[in-house]
Amino acid sequence: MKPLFDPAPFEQRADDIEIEPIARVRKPYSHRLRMRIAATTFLVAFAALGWRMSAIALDHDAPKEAARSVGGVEQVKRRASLLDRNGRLLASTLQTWEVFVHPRESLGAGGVSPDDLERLGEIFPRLDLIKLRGHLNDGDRKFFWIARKASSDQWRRARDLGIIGVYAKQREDRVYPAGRVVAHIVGGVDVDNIGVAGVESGLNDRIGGPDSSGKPLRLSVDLRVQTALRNTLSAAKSEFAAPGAAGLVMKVRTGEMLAMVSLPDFDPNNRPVAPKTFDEQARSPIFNKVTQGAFELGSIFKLLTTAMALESGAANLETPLDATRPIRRGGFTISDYLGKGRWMSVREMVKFSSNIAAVRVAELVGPERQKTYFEKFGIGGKVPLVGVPNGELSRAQLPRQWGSSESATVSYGHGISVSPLHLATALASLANDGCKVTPTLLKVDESDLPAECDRIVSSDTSEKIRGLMRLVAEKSSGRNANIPGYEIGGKTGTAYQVKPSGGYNTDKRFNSFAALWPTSDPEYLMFISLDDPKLLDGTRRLPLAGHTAAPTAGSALERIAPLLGMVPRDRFRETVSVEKQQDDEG
Amino acid sequence: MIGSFLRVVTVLAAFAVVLSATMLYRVKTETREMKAEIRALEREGDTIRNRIDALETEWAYLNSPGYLSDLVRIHADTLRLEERVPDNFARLSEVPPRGALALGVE
Repeated sequence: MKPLFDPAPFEQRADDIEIEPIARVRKPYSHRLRMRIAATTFLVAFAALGWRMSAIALDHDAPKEAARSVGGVEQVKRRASLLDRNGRLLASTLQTWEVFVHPRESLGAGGVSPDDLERLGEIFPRLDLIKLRGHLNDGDRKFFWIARKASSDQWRRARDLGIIGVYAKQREDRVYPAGRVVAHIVGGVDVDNIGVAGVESGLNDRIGGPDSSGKPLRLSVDLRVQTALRNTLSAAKSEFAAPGAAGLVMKVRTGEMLAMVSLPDFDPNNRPVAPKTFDEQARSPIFNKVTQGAFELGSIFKLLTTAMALESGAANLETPLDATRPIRRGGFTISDYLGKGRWMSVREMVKFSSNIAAVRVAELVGPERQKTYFEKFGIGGKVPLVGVPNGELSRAQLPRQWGSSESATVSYGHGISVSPLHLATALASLANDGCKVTPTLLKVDESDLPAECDRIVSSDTSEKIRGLMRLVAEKSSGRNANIPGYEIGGKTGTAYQVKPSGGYNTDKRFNSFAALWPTSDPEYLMFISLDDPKLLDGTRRLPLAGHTAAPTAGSALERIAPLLGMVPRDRFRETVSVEKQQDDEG
Repeated sequence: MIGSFLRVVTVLAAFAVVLSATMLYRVKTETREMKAEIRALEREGDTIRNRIDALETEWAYLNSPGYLSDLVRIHADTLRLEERVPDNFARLSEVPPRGALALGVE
């Protein structure tokens, strides 16, 4: 009986199998080959899919891409802001726009209506509308500047006018809100926003280099002190008809520069072009007298001469010195201004600023030791000022041969040219208990200072030098700077200026004053220099440092010491800073 | 046997491809949207930062000691402010009691 349905429809019965010849079994596209092709196709497809998915999942390039470009505009790393020691802004970078017009394009599109032109004039008050109207009517130019530095708001308003042919290009500008006040500290940048002078150049890598963090950089400068010093020097420059002036205030323990002024100065927002010749450079406002100048600074050197004599044991403060008559050295006569004409001690040599007695001290020390001590005091080459490029630091100009006559003149600050920074740093080191001070324009945390003292003189010598400075301020040429209550110490320096052709110009002087306060525990050092000051008060007095630089330092001190929170001692038992008092109470 | 297995695998693989492609499309679209969002946020952040920088600079200029002292000089009659000098310091005991000056008591 035939079954109603096939019990195994998919099974091939043995009798149904048709045996084919072997040649027919081997088809050109076999089952196995199809399988391989399919497997390969899927493998490739899956591999591609997997690769793409993992690429999307990992997406390593995405953050970089986002950081590199925003809205299709290439982002340039912005220069870090500069702050003063109290966080006041000294330099920042602003996004500005260069707005321009293509007059031919505007003319081709039907020109610009008088209303739109008027509105452009309202947005850009400095725009020469008559000139612009002429170019727009004539279509004679392809390009015309509307504004080289426009704010985002100005550009947005101009763009909203919808004038055809008006375009803008984004740029970044360095802005110095304090302007001239901090000119020589910040220096400036070039058109590519790269530092060309001052801190902008000295710390260019930290401010805008590839490794810059972009975080604001805090400088050692105190904008209040800087402004007070600049105002005082500016007033003194007028009062004494001086063509130039320079000054600095340094924190003795840390070497931090609270202020650095060189007059004439310039607006760093519009930095003048650097002069080409050497003579022009020295007269240019961009020349920083504090760091780049090299001047004979006169009798302030007597403090260094005394320090080396005390330290080497060649003399003590009471050693008698013959200052009875002028002496001749190397064909020159060395004399004193208002000399005492008698024997005097080393202490009196500093007090009366006797050149003759200073030469006697130098003789006791000897040229070799004198040279060694100058090098120890940092007056041998350049003084490194952290934050300022090496090219902006002058090298001390020492005598070529250091014989007895050179040793004699150097002892009272003649025949040796240094920058105010050189001498101020040497004095700060002497005052800092004899420990070497490195000047810096960066804010320093006192806890980061090295615990070990790099000693240049003993504690005892330091104390004696401070005592001598106090003596000068109290009873001698520094009296005009002796502001009561601050325990001021000081030393004057008057030197004839060197002629370009050689020799001295006895009509021109360079007057300086170094002030230290309080002398028992020095906190600050100030150095003031006036270039060729004249006394215009009707008296026939010679314009010595005691009459010019010392009162200038006194005026500056009167203003700066209270700003630094220092309370005068005559009103209170001890001179203490308000900040210190608050810390102690806190 | 192998043939039927392969057929099943092929169907599953095809299904997986379609599924993956759909998911990939979704992920890609989401990524694109997020990128656009990030760009917009960054643009906004950039604009805000520029505004802050401009305001900070303006503030620094308006608060610079030179500008303030000019203002004090111009409005000296109204403000009657003076520079802080060493003579300005006094002991607390030297400060007259409140109201004493108004009453004319020294």
